Amino acid sequence: MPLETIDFEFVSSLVLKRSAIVLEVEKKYLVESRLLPLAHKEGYSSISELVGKLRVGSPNGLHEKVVEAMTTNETSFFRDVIPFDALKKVVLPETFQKRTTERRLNIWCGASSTGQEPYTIALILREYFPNYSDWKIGITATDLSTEVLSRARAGRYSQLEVNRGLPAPLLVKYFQRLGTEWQLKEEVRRLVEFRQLNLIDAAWGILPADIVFLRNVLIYFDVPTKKAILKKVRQILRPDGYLFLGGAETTMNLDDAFERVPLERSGCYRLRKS
Amino acid sequence: MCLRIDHDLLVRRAFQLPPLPQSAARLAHLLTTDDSDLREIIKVIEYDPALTMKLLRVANSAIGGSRYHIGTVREALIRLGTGTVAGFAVASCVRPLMGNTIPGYSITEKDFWKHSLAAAFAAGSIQAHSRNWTSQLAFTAALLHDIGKLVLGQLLTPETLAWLERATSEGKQSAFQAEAEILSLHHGEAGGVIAQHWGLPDSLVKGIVYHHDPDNGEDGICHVTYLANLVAHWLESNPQAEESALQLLLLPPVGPVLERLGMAGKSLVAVSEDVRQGLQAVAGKIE
Repeated sequence: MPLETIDFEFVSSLVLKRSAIVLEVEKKYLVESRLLPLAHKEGYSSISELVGKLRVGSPNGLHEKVVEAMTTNETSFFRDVIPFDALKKVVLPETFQKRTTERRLNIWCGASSTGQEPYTIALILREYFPNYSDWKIGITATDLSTEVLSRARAGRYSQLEVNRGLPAPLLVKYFQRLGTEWQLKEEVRRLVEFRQLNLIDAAWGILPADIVFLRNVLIYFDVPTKKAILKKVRQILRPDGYLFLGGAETTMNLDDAFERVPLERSGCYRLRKS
Repeated sequence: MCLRIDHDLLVRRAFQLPPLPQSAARLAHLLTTDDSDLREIIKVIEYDPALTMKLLRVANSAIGGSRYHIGTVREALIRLGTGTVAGFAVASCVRPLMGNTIPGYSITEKDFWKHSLAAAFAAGSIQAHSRNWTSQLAFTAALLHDIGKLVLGQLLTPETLAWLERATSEGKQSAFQAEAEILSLHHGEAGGVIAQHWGLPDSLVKGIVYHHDPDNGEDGICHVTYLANLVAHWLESNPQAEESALQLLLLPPVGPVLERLGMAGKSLVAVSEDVRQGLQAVAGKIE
């Protein structure tokens, strides 16, 4: 059954509020193509029934699932390139210099999905900063889903997944072929610790971090939740640390304690000096 | 119900394709360096008699009505250039793998090759008119740019095809955009996996993967395959010789691509003429 205009309007307004993504009316087919599989997966017989539930609440995080289905934020190695260039060329060299005395660095990667993002960070450290291998460097990667966490821990990726953004020399150097898949070598996998975390939980149990990656996560939440999450990030980010957000995300009008770092299109923020 | 393509299944299907002869892949690798050794190239081709035979047949087709006959690999290389010879060599090994139609895309094998050849001739001509250096493998990349359809097409169900159709008709998306939007992967990516299975060089893989979004490929070969594909499609929709290829300049993405390749807009007329002549030469020989 075709999507009713009133239901389409409800979904497009939800997606606009959460992720700033505009769905014009000619994208009705797209909403149907994404929400029909979700409706069936969640046990609803139609999109109309699913939208009916959305109108009265968000059972089992249904609002987030709808936004996720509509935004298709697929993760990939070196996703968007620019933030990782900024990490490699500016943020890491500067942070290593500032931590020379303690020789310790903590990086937290929130909503790490199947692990490409934290492993990209680990690959950058391994490939471009070998002189710091005797430092105590911790990369903690968290996600809500235990299913994706177990995939991430295995570090096994399809040919298509490694083709998306991973430079061939790094593939050859740090991965080994397993049938039609590629597995990240143990020496890189062990640099990342994966664990489950729901960002809307009251306590995160994350160590104070020098660098936080929280990219393409805030878009799923409503404004009060975005504010609450940024407040908690502020509490764990060290005063001179860096926060990376996704391209469509900002701290503006959500948390004025942060300011944008003038690194073009990197989505990099830091805390204002008080 | 799930519209997304099972990545593992797609990779498995790609890897189930018969391998390319080692000589064809080796030939492609020899062309990755700017100063490839002609003697070495000849040796690799002649070492494989089946490849030599196929290549000479295709090379003689390509020179069309010429009274001149290409009898040796050396002559083929001198007459057609190393990039073109490598492309024909690879294509002569790939073509037998195809059935009469490409499932899912409703294209006949003949039309598929006609488009691929048009793109390849366009790539060769684009390189000749470009001030900037691009890999000699651009001809081969353009020839194989749609090869992913061979595998992706097998996985398209009537249901997914209906959604793709809606994306193009209602959403005004191009066929490529519709694939990316509905399937979360596109035939360029599928083609990249096939090229990797065949052990083809990385730049060639990139030329195939990014033939619709060259800026993401960060390699000049992607811009060549992108423009070559556009020219080939344009000529298919405008087969009349009097239609000026300068109309291509009206397409928004063409200007920046020409700039990237160091190419004058008016060169598109010569490129389209080269494609017409190339296709005319092989006409009747691609059935």
